[in-house]
Amino acid sequence: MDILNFLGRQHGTKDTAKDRLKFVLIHDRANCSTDLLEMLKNDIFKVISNYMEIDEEELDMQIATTDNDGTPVLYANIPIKNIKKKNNA
Amino acid sequence: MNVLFKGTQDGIIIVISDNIPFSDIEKELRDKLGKSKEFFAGVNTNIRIKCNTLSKSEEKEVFSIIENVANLDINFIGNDYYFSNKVLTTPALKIVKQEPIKNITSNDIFNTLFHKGTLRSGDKLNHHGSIVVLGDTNPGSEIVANGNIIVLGKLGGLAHAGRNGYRDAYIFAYNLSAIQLRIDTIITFLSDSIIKENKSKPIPRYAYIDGDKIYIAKRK
Amino acid sequence: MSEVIVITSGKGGVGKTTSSANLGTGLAMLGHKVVLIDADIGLRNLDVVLGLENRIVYDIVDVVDGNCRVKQALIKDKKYESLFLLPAAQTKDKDSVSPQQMIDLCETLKEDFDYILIDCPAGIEQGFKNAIAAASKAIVITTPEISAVRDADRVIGLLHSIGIKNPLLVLNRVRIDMVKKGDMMSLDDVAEILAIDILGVVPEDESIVISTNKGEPAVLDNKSEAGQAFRNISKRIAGEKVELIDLNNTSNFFSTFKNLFKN
Repeated sequence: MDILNFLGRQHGTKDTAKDRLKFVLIHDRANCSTDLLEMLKNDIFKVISNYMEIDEEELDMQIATTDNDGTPVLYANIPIKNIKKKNNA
Repeated sequence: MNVLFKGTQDGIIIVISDNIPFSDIEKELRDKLGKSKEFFAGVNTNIRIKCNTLSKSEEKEVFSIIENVANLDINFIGNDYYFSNKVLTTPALKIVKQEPIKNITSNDIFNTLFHKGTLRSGDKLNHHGSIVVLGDTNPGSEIVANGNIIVLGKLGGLAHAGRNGYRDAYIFAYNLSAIQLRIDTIITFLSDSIIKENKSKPIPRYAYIDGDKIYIAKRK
Repeated sequence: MSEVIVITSGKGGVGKTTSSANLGTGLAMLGHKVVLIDADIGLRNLDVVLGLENRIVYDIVDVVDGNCRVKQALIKDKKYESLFLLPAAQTKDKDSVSPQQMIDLCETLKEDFDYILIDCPAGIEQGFKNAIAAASKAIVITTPEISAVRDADRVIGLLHSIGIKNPLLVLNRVRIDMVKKGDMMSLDDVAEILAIDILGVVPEDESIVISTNKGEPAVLDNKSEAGQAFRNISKRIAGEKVELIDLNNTSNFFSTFKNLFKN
C-alpha cells in the first residue's frame, strides 16, 4: 500500500474529499433538504399531470451543478407516458 | 404606613412614600426605629433609601436619625437601590465617623465578601467592601473591590483594590501571579523576576501603594 | 482612505486570530496605521497572541458603553508605534456590542487609521453579525479540510447577503507534503470550490505555535515560512503585486524520485 502510494499510482484522498464537499455544498447552497425535494417532486408531478400523463415511478429529480461555473441547477427527468389534453374529452 | 423597612441580601432598604410632609416621615421613622432598636443592635449593614421626593438635606436628616435612634453601624448609604448585584452603587452620601478613610477600621473595608472556589476566565467579582477568595483566580477573571483583596490561593487574573479612592488598600495572595494589578487609579504589572520566582517556588506577597507607585513585597 | 476589513471563517480553530495578529502586524511593518479590533467578546484571545494581555485597562464594551474614550482603550503594540489593539471584553456577553455601535465605532476609528481589521468570533450567530456589520471588505480564512471549507462557503454566502460581494480567500495550515501526495486539497482545489479570489496561502508551520507562546506574531520572524506568507498577504492587502508562494517548488529528493516514476 505504502509503496504504491509512494510510486504515485494510488489516488490520494483529496479527490474523495472534494467530491463529498461538492455534494454537501450543492445542498447547502440550495438550502434544500431531501424532504423539500420530495415535496417539490410531488407538486411538479401534480401540475404536469393536469396536462399529460407521466410516469411517477420513473420521475427523477435532483440538484446538480452546471459544468462551467458550478451554480446549482434543478435537474429533472420526467418520462411522458401519454400526451393527452385534459378538458378535451 | 409611609415608611417601610425591607431587608434584602444586600442590606436594608427604607422605602418612603412620595410627597409626605417630612415631619410625618420623621415621626414614623423614630417610632419604628424605637420599636426595633433591639433587632438592629450591633448590626453592620448597608442602608439605602428609596424615595423620589426627598431633598438632600432631608436625606441627611433621615440618616442621622437612623444613626442616633437605632445606634446602627452604618457603612454604606445611598438614596437609590439597584436591584442588580452587578451594578456597584456609588454612595450618594458617605458617612465616615470622625476617622479619616485611611483608618483600617472603616466599615467599608471590613464589609467582606467571601468567595469559595475557583474564579475562571470571564468570571467577575464586584464588591463595595473587601474580597477574600478561598481558591484560585485564573487569567481572564476580574476581582474589583473598594477595599482590600485577599486570595488564599493563586491570583492569576486581574485584581483591582481600593477602587473608589481608598489608597491604603492592599492585594494579598499566596501566589501573586496577576496579569495586572490595580489599586485606586494606579496600574502595574509584575516584573519578570517575580513571575519566574512564582513558577519555581511561590511565596505569599502583597501589593500596596506608596506615593504614586504600587510596590510588591514578600509577606513578613 | 481607510478600510474596514473583517477576518472571518465560520469554523473555529482555523486561524482567524493568528491571521488577524499577523496581518495587522504585517500592515504596520509596511508603515500603515492599523487598529485590530477583537470582536470575540467573552472569549478574547487577540491580546495574548499579540502579547498585550497585561496592558488591558478598558475594552470595546467600555468604549461603546461610554465608560471611556476610544483612545483610552486602544493599546499600543510593543514593537510598532502605528499598531493598536482594541481588546474584547472577557466578562461580558456576545451581544454587548450592537451592529450599529460597531459601525459608529469604526467610523470614529477611520479618522486615525488606514486599516481597521476586525477579528470575528467563530460561528454565524449574533457575534458574527455584529463583527461584520461595519466591514466593507472581508478575508475568509479556511483550512483544506471539508468541515472548514463547508463553513467558509456558508460564511461567504452570508457576507454576500449583507453586500460584501468579493471576500478574499486565505488558505491556512497547508501541508505541502500531503498536498503532493494527493491527500490534502490544494489552494486551487479550494478556490475552485469556493469560487472567490485568492489572497494567499499559508503553510502549516511550527513557528506559529512558538510565536504564539511568546506573544510575538510569526510575521516578525524572518525565518518563519508562515511569517513570510503573512508578509506577502499584508503586501497584497496594501495593494502590492506579490506572487503566490509556489508550494510545489520546494522539491526534495523524494518528490524528484516520485516525479521520475510518474513521467
